[in-house]
Amino acid sequence: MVFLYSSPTELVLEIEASVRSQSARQSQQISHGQGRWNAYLNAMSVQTVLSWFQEDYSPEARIWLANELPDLWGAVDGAAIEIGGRRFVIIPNKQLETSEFIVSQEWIDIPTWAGDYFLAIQIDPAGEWLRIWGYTTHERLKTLGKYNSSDRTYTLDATQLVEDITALSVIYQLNPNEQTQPAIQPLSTLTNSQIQTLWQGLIHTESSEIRCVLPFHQWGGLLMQTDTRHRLYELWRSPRPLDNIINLANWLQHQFEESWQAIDGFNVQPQLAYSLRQSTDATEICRARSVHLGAEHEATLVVMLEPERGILEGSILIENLPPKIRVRLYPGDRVFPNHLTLALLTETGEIVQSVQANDQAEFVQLKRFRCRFGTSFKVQIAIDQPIFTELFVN
Amino acid sequence: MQARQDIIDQFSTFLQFAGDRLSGWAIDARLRHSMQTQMTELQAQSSSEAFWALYWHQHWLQAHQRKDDAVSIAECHLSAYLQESCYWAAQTLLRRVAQSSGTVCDCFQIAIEKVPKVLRACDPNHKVSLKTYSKVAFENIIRDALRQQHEINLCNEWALLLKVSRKQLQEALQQSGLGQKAIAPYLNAFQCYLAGYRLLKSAGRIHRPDAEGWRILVQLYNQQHPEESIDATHLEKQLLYCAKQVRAYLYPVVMSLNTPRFEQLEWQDEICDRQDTPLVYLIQQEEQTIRRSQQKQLNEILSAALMQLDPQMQTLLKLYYQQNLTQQQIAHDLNVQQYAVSRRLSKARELLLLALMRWSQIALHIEPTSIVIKHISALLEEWLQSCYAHSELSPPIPEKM
Repeated sequence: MVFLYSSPTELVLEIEASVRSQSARQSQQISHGQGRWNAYLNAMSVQTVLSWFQEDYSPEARIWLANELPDLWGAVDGAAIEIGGRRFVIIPNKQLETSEFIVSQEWIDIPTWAGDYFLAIQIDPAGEWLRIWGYTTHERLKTLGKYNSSDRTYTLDATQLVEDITALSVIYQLNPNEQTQPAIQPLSTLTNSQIQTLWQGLIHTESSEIRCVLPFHQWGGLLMQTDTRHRLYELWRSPRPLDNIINLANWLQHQFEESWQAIDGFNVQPQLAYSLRQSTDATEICRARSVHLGAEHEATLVVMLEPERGILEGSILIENLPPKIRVRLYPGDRVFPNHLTLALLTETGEIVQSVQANDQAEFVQLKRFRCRFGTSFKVQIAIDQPIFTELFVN
Repeated sequence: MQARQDIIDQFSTFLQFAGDRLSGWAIDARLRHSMQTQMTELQAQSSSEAFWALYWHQHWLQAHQRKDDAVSIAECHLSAYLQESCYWAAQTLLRRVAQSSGTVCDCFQIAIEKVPKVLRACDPNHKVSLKTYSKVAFENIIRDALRQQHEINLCNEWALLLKVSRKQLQEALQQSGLGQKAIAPYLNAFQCYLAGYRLLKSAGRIHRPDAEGWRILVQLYNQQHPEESIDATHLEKQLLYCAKQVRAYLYPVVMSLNTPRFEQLEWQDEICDRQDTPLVYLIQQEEQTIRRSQQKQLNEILSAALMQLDPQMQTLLKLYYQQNLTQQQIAHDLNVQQYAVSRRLSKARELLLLALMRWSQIALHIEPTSIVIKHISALLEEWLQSCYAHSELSPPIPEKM
């Protein structure tokens, strides 16, 4: 279908099935929907375009920050391919409309990120093909592009692009050192204490909106440094609610989600672990996962199921009863931060019960509860604002 | 009907369509008067078409930079001037994809609206005439519009919603008569579907979410909008309404799909281009002889480059530019993969562009930059189209080998 209208000035590339499924799988690493789209579309594009670059331009072509993908796409759209000193930024878009070319500010205004050339790519959201329909330079985007402060992008009208992708290769051959960038204003390096302050704000932000929370020079400062970039990735890594509904019915069959592990590996004080076991009978199911409370502070969340015997009529089971559920949070190797609460919420977010931690407490726990099979509920940890939510279905 | 020859006509008359057919040139009295006045004032009665195109274009660019109102008269003159380019662009495209697209009139209207964008993108300093540049720009604009309409026709509701922007949907809903307040829930549903779709397990083909999918979408919706609660049936209804409005909004023209083909053939002769194709546009003052010799050189360079392409590339170019086949048809006829056609065809064009840029670097001392090549690419397109149109069966053989 895409070939009905394609012209020799553009290029349609096939996305291989293996690239498609790998990209879909990797994108699961990102917790929010927009980030997953970014990861899915960008991963397919960069792999496919890289092969083309390696064949047509140079076998030396490499993906920039390859080992930080797909994490990077949790916040920023686009990817870069480097050949020698030149950087080609590819921007995939799944929309029908290609009358504009929209590029995230990061690729323009962070000096260490800035690209030389920007390739406009239309990609089939079903992942069959992509179409490279034009390119432009950093300078054109910066000088002619319209800056939109609400989503921090530069937009260039399609007529302003070089709507001939074969031209890029010609320029690369005839003028490999073409002047592509005007002087880019440097971003100041952030100090450690600045970073600490920024962090407090970021960890309370919905990860899908994190990109535009800080002023750009601060956000750019965080992205510029490798260590802070890696810390950012933690903020939008899965698992998160929704994409990972924890199915307790499976637990009763001894099938567990990867994020919920046996309790033995966790930093739960031995005597506490012991008392935990003692209080329950042998059929109890107990799993744990760690929860990031703040800088280097990992707590352990524990969920215990006490299966009930079903209702028997004679020796025939006529009704299964749902298990009793207990939820506990252990502070790990530190004390609980102030104002920490652990809460049980309905699926739609109404609080059923909640308990505040005392900073000296060895753990904090919800009252034991039971709910009908098929009911969903959430367990939420908040320090003034929610920092962790997990969704369960019984 | 002939292309306009008289300078005043060229800058003051507009194509008229009666239904889908060309009916003549309409004169705009105000523009006519403006041309006459300018000619007297500048004592430029004998100046060429190229002079006036440049004159009004520069006028337009300056006014545009100042953002003043004088932009309008220059724009009208240039819009009049570009009537043939736009018509030919529509015709060139429809020759290739006639079976599935609209009429020349529809396509002409789509493109002529974008004159200001084309004027802004064309830089008169790069030695390619506005006419040459604009024809390619118009072709791109029309191709994009047709492609979009075609895709909207083919894709299902669920894929369509993934391919529109929030802005487009918003406009579509507004057009359907909904007020700001009524639109909000639809936008919420759309936003939720968009973010949620990727959270579903499915990869590959896009279809209606399954029961598990709906459960996840509903959950996401209710999480984001705790004040209102929605169920799957209601959410689906809202999304389908969005898709319907988007379709109606993005595909407003009822294209005449059943236009018989012979009409197309008739039309091809309706405006004939009687001028020599202006290949390289050099500023007015430069001597005709130099211009002629450069045109000849360029023709030789490109013809030679064409002959050096491997036979397969030559065949592809011929099928595309001479027989006006789509890449789909070419792949089918040659029994090769469509992706391979796209790759080889663009490689062939790249080699020609490379030859042309090398020559202009040496002969015209033009620095090969992205902004220059954007214009030179239009020149190549024009050359390819005219070269294959004027040769019956084979590309021209250079005069001297």
